[in-house]
Amino acid sequence: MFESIAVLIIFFFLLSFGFTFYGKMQQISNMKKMRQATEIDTVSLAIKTSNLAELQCSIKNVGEPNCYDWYKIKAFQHMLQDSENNEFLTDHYYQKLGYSRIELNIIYPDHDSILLYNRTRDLAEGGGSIVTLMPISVYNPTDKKHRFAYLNITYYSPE
Amino acid sequence: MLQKRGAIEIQFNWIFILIIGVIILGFFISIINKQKTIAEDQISASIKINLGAVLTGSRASAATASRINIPNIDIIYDCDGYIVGKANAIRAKTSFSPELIKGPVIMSWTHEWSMPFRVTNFLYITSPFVRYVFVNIGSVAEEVYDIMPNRTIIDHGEVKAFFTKELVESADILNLKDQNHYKVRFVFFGGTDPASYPLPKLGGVKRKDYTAVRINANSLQDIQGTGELVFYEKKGDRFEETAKSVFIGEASAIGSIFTDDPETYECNMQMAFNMLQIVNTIYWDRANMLKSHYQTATDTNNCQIVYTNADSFFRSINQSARRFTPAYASSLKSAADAVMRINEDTLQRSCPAIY
Repeated sequence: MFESIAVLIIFFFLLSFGFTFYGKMQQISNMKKMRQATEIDTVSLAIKTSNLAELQCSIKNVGEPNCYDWYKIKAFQHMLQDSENNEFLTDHYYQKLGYSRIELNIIYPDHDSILLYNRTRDLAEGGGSIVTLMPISVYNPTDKKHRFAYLNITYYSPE
Repeated sequence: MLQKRGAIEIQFNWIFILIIGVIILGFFISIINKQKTIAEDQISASIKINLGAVLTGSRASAATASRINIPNIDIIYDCDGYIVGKANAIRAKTSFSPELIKGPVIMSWTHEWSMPFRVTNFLYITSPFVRYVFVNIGSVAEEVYDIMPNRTIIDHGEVKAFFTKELVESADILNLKDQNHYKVRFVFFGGTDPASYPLPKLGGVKRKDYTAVRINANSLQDIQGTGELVFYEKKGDRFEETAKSVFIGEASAIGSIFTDDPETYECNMQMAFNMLQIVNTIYWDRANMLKSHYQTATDTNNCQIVYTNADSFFRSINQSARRFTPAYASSLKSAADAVMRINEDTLQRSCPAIY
């Protein structure tokens, strides 16, 4: 009888050891998947940002890829600056762009930096950030000139 | 005495073995069930992440169609988005789909919605196992049929089913045979009353999956404007009207073909209207800035006048886009057409275009 109990004790000990090991492996695998998901989210954000109809250059609805219209940028800035009491607007862009920071940096022929969107996550809660840089051209329709720029897109991940 | 004690001990041993055996078995069964639930949740989450990324990519370009392989699961669609298993919904604004999409393959298609400037790309998601029957009355049915995606697509060198559509004469409706689709959607045009046609018996299709829509348009030009939409569901062997709505623009009319739930259609159109307000505000502010620029700069082409003319129409678009109703849709279309004419004027004057 006591032998049986001893065998059972050893059996359960081995079982718990096995489950602890398996749990650890699952945790590592899940962290890998979450990192992958974060990378996918980052790419999605970059695609959404570069295809915003409200910023993209266009003539008669034919959009020009990798180009932002200067006056649209200014109008977009005005709109978001006045959006503090506009719950719909903040909610709309939060759903679209999430926790992220989108900055347009003009590098040639002049230098300028324009903050397009900023909604940071409280980093004290944990999580990290991934930065994506995307080259873009800024077109001024009044002088019909392009400027070189890049988008600095920072995605704040939950983990 | 000793023998009696031995016999009792053996019995207790067996009882002890039984109890431990049940405990161990129960333990492993609970582990298996928990693992099964975890695995299902992981699959749902994984599909949700990948599908969300695919939908984002699909929506980025207009007039693109793709065939997406997914696990053999059901995706439920409503105004909140696409729900896969127990995962949270994939939010997808201005997306038009049937209520239930069955795997293992889905089809996505995008179409630009402009009013008159591009507001967003409408995303249409369906399955090749949903059958779309276009009833050929007037030339518009064939024209819309040709706009819709092709029946097949070449995927990795192989011809595969893509979008199950067919064009039938009204006299042939009753002769349609069951082809094992889980959903059938009839599309009528013009003033024809779908309720006047007896329906074929398609055994595999449930009543709520046997639906129709009538798009009140007699030409492609009508479809690009505004008009009435009527939704139908099968009752007995005829269609019965369930709801009325309105379409505004070709993309919106096509959306009513893909969405079998009128509430979901209206919900997405309201989202489209909300996005229109945002985009219109930006174009309006942009036009004002261009006007201000030409107030101080040399204005040989009289660009100022054009931007001033557009002002009242931008205001009208914002007011009309507050609610998705037939009256507002009509006034919105008028204002959008006016902005389009003014835009042509700016281009003729070599002024920076309004859009």
